[in-house]
Amino acid sequence: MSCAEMEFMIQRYYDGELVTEEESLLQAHLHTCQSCDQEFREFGTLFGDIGALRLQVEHRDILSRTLERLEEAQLKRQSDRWYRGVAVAAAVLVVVSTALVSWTDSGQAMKHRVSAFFAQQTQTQPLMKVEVPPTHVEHDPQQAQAALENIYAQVQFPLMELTDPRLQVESTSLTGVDADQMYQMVELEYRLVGKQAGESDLVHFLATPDNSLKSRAKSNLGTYEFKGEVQAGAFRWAKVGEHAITAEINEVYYQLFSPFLSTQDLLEMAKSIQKR
Amino acid sequence: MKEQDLVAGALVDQASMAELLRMIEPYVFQTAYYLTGSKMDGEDVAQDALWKICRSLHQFKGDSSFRTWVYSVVLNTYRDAARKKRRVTVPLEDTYVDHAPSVEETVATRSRLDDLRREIMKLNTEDREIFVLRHLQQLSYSEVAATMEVTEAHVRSRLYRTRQKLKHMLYGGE
Ligand SMILES: [Zn+2]
Repeated sequence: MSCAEMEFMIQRYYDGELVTEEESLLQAHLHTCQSCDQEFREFGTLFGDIGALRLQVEHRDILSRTLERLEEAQLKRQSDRWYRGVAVAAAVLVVVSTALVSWTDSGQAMKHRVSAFFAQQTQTQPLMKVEVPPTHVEHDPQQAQAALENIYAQVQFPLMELTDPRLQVESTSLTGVDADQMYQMVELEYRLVGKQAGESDLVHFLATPDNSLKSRAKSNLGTYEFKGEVQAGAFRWAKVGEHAITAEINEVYYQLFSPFLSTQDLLEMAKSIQKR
Repeated sequence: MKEQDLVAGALVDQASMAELLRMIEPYVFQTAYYLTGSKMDGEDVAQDALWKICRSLHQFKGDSSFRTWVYSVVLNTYRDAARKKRRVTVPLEDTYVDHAPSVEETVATRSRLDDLRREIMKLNTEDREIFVLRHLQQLSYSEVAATMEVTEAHVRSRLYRTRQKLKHMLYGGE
């Protein structure tokens, strides 16, 4: 066996993948070949150091923040008129005892039970997997077009659409397909057609009736800072940050965001928003 | 408990959702931390990823492993963040790889580990993702491949090359 082949064997040795025969083969070679023996020891140091890289890092309490947000979204969902409009007839008011979980700074979990009133659907049957037309597409304009149709068919709030001819939808997603389980959110990614290639050509479009996203300083679309309202087309949009605008239309919150386009560019696109 | 039951439980009951999130949070943060090389960026990415996970949990299909699905959400969140951040932050070479040294690290090995961390941050995104999943999250080669939606052979060949490069740069005699 050649020394080059030995190198792969050495790496596989440290991956713990060698079978007994291979291991004896390796050992035999190392006894006779000084350069491979040195390779072997150097890889040993590397793998040892890699193991030492794994460490527990103290970090801010991400979990509680997420749970709070979930709680807010759920409460909001349950009290919103739009939601009641689409709730199925089986909805009844029930008393639910829910466990609220909070975490101390040290990361220790502390549980306390709290009773609360919720307007909640009665779960008449266990969760079932329902086949729904696909709504999630990444970077594929043709599939995205079809997925967008599926989104319009499944979404349970009045969704407006951008009709700016320069925008070509290429990624789509609908979260909360089952609006009974989670509030819905539509996220679309458009490519700005006709501009020379670069990083500046993606526009993100987000729509949700969950208004916790309206005032939320931070969402996955960036950090927002309110910078005044502007009329664009039929609706008033608020500038938030340098690259994002938001508007509430029929109790649905829309956000337009592009990492590299200005709010002015985005407002131009927002003019074209209309009911399908 | 079976993954499937855990997920189904979390979708109908908020306390179960909290349990599930508590269980995966350390992995989500650690992965984000290793990928970004910074505690603050790691926290931001982890927070977004965790929120995405609970928002889109219903999209999890039982045909992949839950673990793999969680990691793929973290990777996507990281990639989005990296893409959006590229224009406004200093190039990667200049970023300071901050970390909390563990007590086990002696002074001598610490500087060697620092060098290693720096080299890992200089890897391209794909190679860093592979390295983090395989070595720092200890996924199997096939799990890494499933998470990244590439072949196992591809993962192996990339990682072999990465380790060869790291060894040569940091420990190579010649
Ligand atoms: Zn040899």
